[in-house]
Amino acid sequence: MAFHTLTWLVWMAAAAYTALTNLQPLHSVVLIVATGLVFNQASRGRLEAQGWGAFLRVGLSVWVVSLAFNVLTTHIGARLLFTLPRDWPLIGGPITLEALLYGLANGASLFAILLVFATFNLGVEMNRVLRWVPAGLYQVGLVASIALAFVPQMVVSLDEIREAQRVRGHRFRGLRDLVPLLVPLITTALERSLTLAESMEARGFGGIMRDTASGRRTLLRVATLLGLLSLLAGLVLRAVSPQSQSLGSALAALGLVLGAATLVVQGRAVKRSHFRREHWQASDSWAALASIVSIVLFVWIRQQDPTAVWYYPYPPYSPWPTFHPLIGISSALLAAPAFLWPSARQEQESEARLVEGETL
Amino acid sequence: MNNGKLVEWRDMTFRYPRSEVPVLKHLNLKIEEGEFVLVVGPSGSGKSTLLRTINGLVPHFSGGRISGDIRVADHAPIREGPHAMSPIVGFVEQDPESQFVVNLVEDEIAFALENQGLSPTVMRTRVEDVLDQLKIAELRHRHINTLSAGQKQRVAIASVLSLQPQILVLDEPTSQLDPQAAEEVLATLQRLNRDLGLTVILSEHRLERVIEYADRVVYLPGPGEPPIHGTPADVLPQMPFAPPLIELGQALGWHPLPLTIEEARHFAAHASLAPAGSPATSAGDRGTSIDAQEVWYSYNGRPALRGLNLRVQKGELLGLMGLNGAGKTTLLKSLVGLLHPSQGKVVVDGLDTAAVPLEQIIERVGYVPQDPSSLLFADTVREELDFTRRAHGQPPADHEQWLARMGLSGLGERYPRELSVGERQRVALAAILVAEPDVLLLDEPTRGLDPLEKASLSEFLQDQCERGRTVVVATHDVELAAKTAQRVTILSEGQIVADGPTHEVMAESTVFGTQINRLFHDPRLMTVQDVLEASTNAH
Repeated sequence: MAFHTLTWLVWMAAAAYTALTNLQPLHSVVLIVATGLVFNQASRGRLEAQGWGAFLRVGLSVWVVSLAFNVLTTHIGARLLFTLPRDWPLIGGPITLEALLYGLANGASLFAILLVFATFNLGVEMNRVLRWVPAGLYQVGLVASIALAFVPQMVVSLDEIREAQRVRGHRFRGLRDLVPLLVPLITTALERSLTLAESMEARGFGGIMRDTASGRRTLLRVATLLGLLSLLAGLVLRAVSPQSQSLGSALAALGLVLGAATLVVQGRAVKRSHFRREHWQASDSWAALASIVSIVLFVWIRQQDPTAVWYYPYPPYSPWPTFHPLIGISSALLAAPAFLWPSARQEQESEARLVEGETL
Repeated sequence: MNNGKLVEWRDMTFRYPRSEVPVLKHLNLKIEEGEFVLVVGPSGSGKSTLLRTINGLVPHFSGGRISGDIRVADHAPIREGPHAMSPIVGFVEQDPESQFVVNLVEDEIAFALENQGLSPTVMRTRVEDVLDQLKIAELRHRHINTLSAGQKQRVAIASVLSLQPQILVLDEPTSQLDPQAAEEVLATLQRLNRDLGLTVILSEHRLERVIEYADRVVYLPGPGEPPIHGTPADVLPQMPFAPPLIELGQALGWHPLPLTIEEARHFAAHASLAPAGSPATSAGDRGTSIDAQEVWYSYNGRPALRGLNLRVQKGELLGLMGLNGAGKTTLLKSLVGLLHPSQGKVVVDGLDTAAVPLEQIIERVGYVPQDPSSLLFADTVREELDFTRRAHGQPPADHEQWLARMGLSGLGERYPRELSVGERQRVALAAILVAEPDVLLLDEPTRGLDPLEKASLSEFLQDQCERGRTVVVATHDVELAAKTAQRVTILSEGQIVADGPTHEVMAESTVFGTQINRLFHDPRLMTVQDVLEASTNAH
């Protein structure tokens, strides 16, 4: 693996936050280019890359469809491109530049999110990500492990099922015809997941839970519940009532602390160790640093000028997209992993060291 | 202390959730330390359930109501559950594809150890030990999805062995494997049993593969019925189905009943037999049904079929054999037109598969894939039949007649995926046959079938041939091929290495010979039937 799992997690946090909050198309472009470079590196020589390529192509078609939809049905704006007869249902009326631009911007933003997701999935090894799930939440880890084990298998199953139904005479003409394809796919995947879950359970997955005294368990449950309620109350208060901001924050913080504490206490009852340890290399430090700088910069700019990431082209606002250079830099920094990517030989060496069992 | 009793069931009754029928009823059974135990019984008789009570998966994972008790090495699985039982009982599933969490062999073996919180040094040592014990050290850095099924099963065994359990429990471990891979796995288990004193408890349908290793046999006649247990020689005569050797021994009155070929040689040498000459293959050209000429096909640059030539007559029953990866499935798919040859031609029932659209070919050719689960999606069995008829543009079939013909009477309204493996196989078969194709292609139809279900499938296929259908069956099951097929073709690495009448081809092959064959070394004696006829002829 090219980078440490934590490096990828930090990168993803930065890239996802940027992609999710930014709507300005020019920023999206920079983000897409930066993430695209990383995606390109990550897909070298990987079989799974084809699957993700297909995923992104689906994303592009979603963009095109939603763009068309937006352009044809939103009739607001000052700059007219052309007009469709008004008596046509839904799409009749002026077709405006603003609607086109908005559709493009939305699509770009969405595509950036998909690209970040695909890159993360390609770069990281999911099972290693699951090791970072806190021990107290091991059931979440179990469910996620199983899902991960089966997504690639489902792709293979899909072909088998398609062939089997074709040979029965089934033709795929419409959406309803997908039922004979999807039902066996999902049920087979579920059945296999059960087998896997059974196998994992039989091997003691999650670690041996020491018998917790019942009183202690009740205490933990009450604490978790209180913690969640407090967090919820705090967030609602902050959102709803401007006077109680500090009280809201305090409640939310209390909730978080309680939740974290119960997780830690529960986690201690679960014994787990790790066979392999990942090594943190210099390239990891630089990549992580770049991601952290990127997100800090982005958050700071947003605080200074919240409108920098909004995009609303319709009148009375200007339709033309703006570009904030610092946000451009922050997005560009996310391309760092592509430039810091270790060579094949370096990767082999680090894998060899893993196998030797050196501990950090 | 346990007095050498490692596993003991006391008056156990268990019902699955939402079911009133107890799968296990007042069961009492004991297993001693170091035994190699074989659990047998027809589909649905409770074998899997019984095995899962040993490590607590029943009832902790399955749910349901349980009463009575089970003790395993002074532990109580019902109270403690699978987590606590994992260092004592290692459990291996049937399907080699669905057991692995991570993709690297070493990591998978270490998975169970990580869950115990052992230190990395201890984990290293254990992983090394296990790789050695199972002789898979050369596989340690491989990705699991690149391994063969037999290798995968051995990795699965390794991954539970790393915990150094006292008992190894396996649920039909060789049902998905070809004869060679199955042999490897079973030999491994025998070695672990002899060398390490590991108690091995496994369930299996293909008795002929395992019976020679077993110390004890536990036969479950049906759900809720008390087990019959004892040494193989005691239990086998009481079972309605037995490996060919045992069947023969009983029929000819051999005493003491030989369980292995070595034991039977003495009797075989003294048997007076006058084997009939080779059965006259039905003369007369009924016309060619399948004609494959110089067929080449490659997957991702790797050739799967190399210049294959095959001709099948109408009404012939052809057994297609070969190890996993030899190209059997590829050939079948080429015959139905799912795959078009890169070179050469395939003509089925007068239609060129490359020139004619698939829709036309499937009106004449039916293909039943390996896994019936990839076919079944409807809510009831009847709807599955209707679906195929509609897809072919044919009027709805007479359900009752079809169900009766396939041995599925009374199951018309059931959800197909809930049925037993054998029943599901038959529903899939019915779903293809209901379109009344002239040619029937079956890919490994006997996986997971118990001997009685296999026998009825064999009869059914022979009946189809008598009605004029051409049947090609790809199978690992040598006994089935010997009993059912008139002609056998053996594939290896995409080429045909043997093709001819069953008794000729299978007698020549060591890997694909039947038990009877190996005993008598006479190509005219392939099945129990052959020997019995020869015996009557001699008297």
